[in-house]
Amino acid sequence: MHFLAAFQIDSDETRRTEILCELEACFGTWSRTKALDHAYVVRVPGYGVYENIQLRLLETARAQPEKVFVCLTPLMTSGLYHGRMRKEAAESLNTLTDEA
Amino acid sequence: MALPTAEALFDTFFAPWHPPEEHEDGNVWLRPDFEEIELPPGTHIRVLDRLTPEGRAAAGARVAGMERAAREDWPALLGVSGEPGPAWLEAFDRWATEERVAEMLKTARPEQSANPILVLACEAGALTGGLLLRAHPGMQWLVDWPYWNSAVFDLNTRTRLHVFAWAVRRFAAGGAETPLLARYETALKLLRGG
Repeated sequence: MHFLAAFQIDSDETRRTEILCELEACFGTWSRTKALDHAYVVRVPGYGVYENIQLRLLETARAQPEKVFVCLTPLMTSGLYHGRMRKEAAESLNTLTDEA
Repeated sequence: MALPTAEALFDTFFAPWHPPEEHEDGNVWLRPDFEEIELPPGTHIRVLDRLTPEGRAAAGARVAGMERAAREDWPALLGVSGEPGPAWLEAFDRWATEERVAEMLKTARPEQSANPILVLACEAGALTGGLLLRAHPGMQWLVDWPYWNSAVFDLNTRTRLHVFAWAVRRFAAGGAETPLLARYETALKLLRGG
């Protein structure tokens, strides 16, 4: 199972990197691919893990003095991602969702 | 591997996720299985609720989310099907052998909020609470934060059932001796004056 998490961080570049690092830490050790600069596809074993990651992301976003927005897709059990991505991101995404 | 006590499980996997002010207030501890609340006649249940309306909505959404997660995850995990009912708790009890729990404890990382101990205990707590509400409609969720401090509450008997704590105790040493299903059935008997 997998979902896509996209972020918008209204801050300067240095803070954006720091905040992104904090947001990424919310995924823990679950496999993920950075599909775009501020968008990740994350593979999880089930809905309970997805719910708890969602909670951590929202808490982390709200805790920042800057405006941080988070958008998550529903949890998906199948399907293909489409788009234009860096080659390594596209390859990694295929592997990740193939296994999911 | 001997399983830890329920208090040790709570301190390892749940306590770190409580807000710092809760730690300062000494409010981070594993709740009892149930509490009888002193509530003078005519007093609104709201006095038991320490959350703001926004906090209440957020906690309620998390409890509902974890119940939904159990509905989605358990059929594959436990081989259950259909509408959740006591049979789901029985399947959970059958699945949660000491060996399986010990295996989960070996790999569960407490620094991750989405670790299997916390996730499964919260799914079990939320599902058990949902089942109690359906079996005894006079009850209601009394939500708290973090959401696993939420309980189901019966106004008639003024009893607060800490269903998430039941699930933590189920994963602890001696947990198999007090299965979730038995706790659920005992609670219903108590509420029905049996």
